[in-house]
Amino acid sequence: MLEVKRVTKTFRRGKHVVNALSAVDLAVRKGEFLTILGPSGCGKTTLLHMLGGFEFPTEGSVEIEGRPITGPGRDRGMVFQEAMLFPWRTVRANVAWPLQVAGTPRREAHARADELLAMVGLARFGNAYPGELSGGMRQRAALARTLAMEPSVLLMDEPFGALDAQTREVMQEELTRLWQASGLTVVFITHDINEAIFLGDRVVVMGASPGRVVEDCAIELARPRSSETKADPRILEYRSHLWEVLRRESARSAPAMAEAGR
Amino acid sequence: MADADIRAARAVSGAVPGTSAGRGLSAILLSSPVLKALGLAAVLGAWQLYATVNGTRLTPGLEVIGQSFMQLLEDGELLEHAAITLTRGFAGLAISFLVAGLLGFVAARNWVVDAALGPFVTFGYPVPKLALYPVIILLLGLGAGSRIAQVALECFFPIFVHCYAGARAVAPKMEWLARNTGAGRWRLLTDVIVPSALPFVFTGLRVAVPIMLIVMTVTEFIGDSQGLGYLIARSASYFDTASAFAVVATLGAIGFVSDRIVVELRGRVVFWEKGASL
Amino acid sequence: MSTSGSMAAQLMRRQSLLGASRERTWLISSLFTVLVLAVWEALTMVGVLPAYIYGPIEIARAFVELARGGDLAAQTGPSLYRALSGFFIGSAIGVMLGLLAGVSRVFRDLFDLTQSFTHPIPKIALFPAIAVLLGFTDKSRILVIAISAFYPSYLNAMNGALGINARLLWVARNAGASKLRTFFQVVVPAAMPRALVGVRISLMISFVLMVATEVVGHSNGLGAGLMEAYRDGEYGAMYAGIVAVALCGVVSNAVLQRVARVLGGGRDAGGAGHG
Repeated sequence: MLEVKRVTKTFRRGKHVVNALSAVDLAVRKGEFLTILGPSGCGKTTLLHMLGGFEFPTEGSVEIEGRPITGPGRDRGMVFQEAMLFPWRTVRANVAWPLQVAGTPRREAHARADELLAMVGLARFGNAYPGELSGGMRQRAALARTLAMEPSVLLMDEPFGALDAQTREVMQEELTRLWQASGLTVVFITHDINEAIFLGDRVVVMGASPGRVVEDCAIELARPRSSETKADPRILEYRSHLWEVLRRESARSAPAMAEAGR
Repeated sequence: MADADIRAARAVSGAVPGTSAGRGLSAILLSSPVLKALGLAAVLGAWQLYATVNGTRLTPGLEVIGQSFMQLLEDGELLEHAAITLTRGFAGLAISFLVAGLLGFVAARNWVVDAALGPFVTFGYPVPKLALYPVIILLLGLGAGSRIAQVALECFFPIFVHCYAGARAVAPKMEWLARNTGAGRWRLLTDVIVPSALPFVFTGLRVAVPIMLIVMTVTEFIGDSQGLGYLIARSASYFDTASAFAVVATLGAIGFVSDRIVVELRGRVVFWEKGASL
Repeated sequence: MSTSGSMAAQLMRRQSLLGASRERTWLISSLFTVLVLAVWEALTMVGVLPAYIYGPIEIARAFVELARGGDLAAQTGPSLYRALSGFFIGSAIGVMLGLLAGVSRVFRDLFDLTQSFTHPIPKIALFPAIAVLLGFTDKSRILVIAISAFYPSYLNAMNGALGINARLLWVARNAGASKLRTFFQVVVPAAMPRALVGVRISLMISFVLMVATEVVGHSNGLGAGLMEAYRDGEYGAMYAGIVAVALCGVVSNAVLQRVARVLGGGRDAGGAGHG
């Protein structure tokens, strides 16, 4: 469904030329949950931004269902690490906002927002303001807001990165449950190997300097996933394998990264 | 969060260790409210002392100033001139706010306007605009008009700079998310940029109000026979320093109240930024 | 002026916008400025503007004349002397007391009410009364200028010291540093960027007050000169005076910016000033 074709991204930082991405090829199947793993500076965020239409490749192309991506659109919903809810609106009004942008009248939009909030477990918090919510709750609200756009793709940039470990685990289980019911295509970026394995149908490992795909690993754990999945012994295998890949990568690229002035 | 605790701890850390009996008394003496009151009392006391020792009409004690104040109030002069100063001042401020606010927002979103206005703001800011007052008098005469224009001119810069910064301070990711939903430029402005910029706008206003008072005061020293500035100049010309100080205190009170109003307003409108102090 | 001048000062460092390279920005800036000047000059030449509005060329000519005639020096000297004296006295005392207030709650509280009540007063309002007491002399003017310059420096220095990440101080205490050493080696450098912002504002205010104190009462100096020129209808001299004042403001501001950069005004002082 999503195609990244020989994408290269370079930019200039002072005198340095940074190879954020170098001839990256990637394909995402419809309905797939793809996780992207990699150290800082490997270009995974840049790649996601390109899929979202907020950044553009220096060379190569990014496509959705055969059409080139030329800008942001409601079909590709982004979720960031910081929820970025409007602090001046209630949670419900935040979730309803994308609907209102599309012309839905207020009452209808708010009703739909309530449905979405119930789906993410925030039914009672419609009237609260974002400042009153915890980090995890804010992320749920942000997710509900993105879902309000009825995207076909969810692009998630380390959405649980700012949460504490327990909340993160809860959110992972919530997300996989939601995804299972929705049939959305998801591209999910993370630092966390366990998270990548638990959530993904497929884990793509990226390396830095230059940014490129280093490994593409299918995760064959049973679906639907839940907290019980975490007891599956194959997780350990996947983990040690991916850990090894990452370790090799960081050993290889450490001197190069130091030079790039990171 | 932890930092706030640490700061709070520092704030009270002035406690002086001592014997258990001494600790009680010194704790009270060194407590915030007592010290604050002491500080103020000391200053007022020093003033009073100087006035008494000096004993001339030119160095009035606090009670003399108080009397002059009451006199001016009863004569109605204080209110009359205050009203003039304030109406003109706030008129100038309003004009300035509209123009500077609009231009600030436009310049923040449009690089051409930004580039065009850039040199004027950068070079205009450090120039004492008061020097231009004679030209404005030539243009608008020695009345309300020139004063309002001068206020508008001088308040323009801080308001412009703050509105500009506010419009630029929108978190890029928030803007991205908004664009993600397909929001158009207008909706982006009203639903995202303006609310994000509000804290800055209020700060700009807060900076502009004292400037307005300063400009009104100075311009009222020159010509015309109206306003609190004029009242001060007139009192001084009669060597009535007590009245002059009384009006000065009034100006201070006006400044204080205006500032409180802006802060209160800010607290209500920008309700999501709690405890933000400029 | 209030402490938010710190933000304004930061904002005055303009960045180029997305969609505009530095060269294009520069081009538009220059073009527009030239355009404005050209239109202004054109309007003057056509005769549409009143007689007392000079065009840019005329103003430049008048300025050169005044400078050559030696009047300019005669006026600038006393003005600068007063402005800078008041500035140095006011801001130096302001910074020192401000730093002190930042580290000592006792001190801060003692000053607190006095400061809050006197801060909202437009200091120029004090000038007539002070002039009655001390005459329309350099002394009274410098006093008013110094009082005005005091506040921004005091407030910003205080906030700079208050805003220091407490952990920096803990590190010093952990190392057994004396209070004096901590003050000079930790507090002062950490508070310096914010304090310097206040000093810049103080400088601006000093020049404004310089002009303001000269338009009242008899005086020498640039402000007095240009008011006199206005009254006498000598518009050339008036505009020349305005340019001179403007130059003082711009040049002194630029100089201070340089100095501030050297003193580390642009450094991040390790967590200072989120206020």
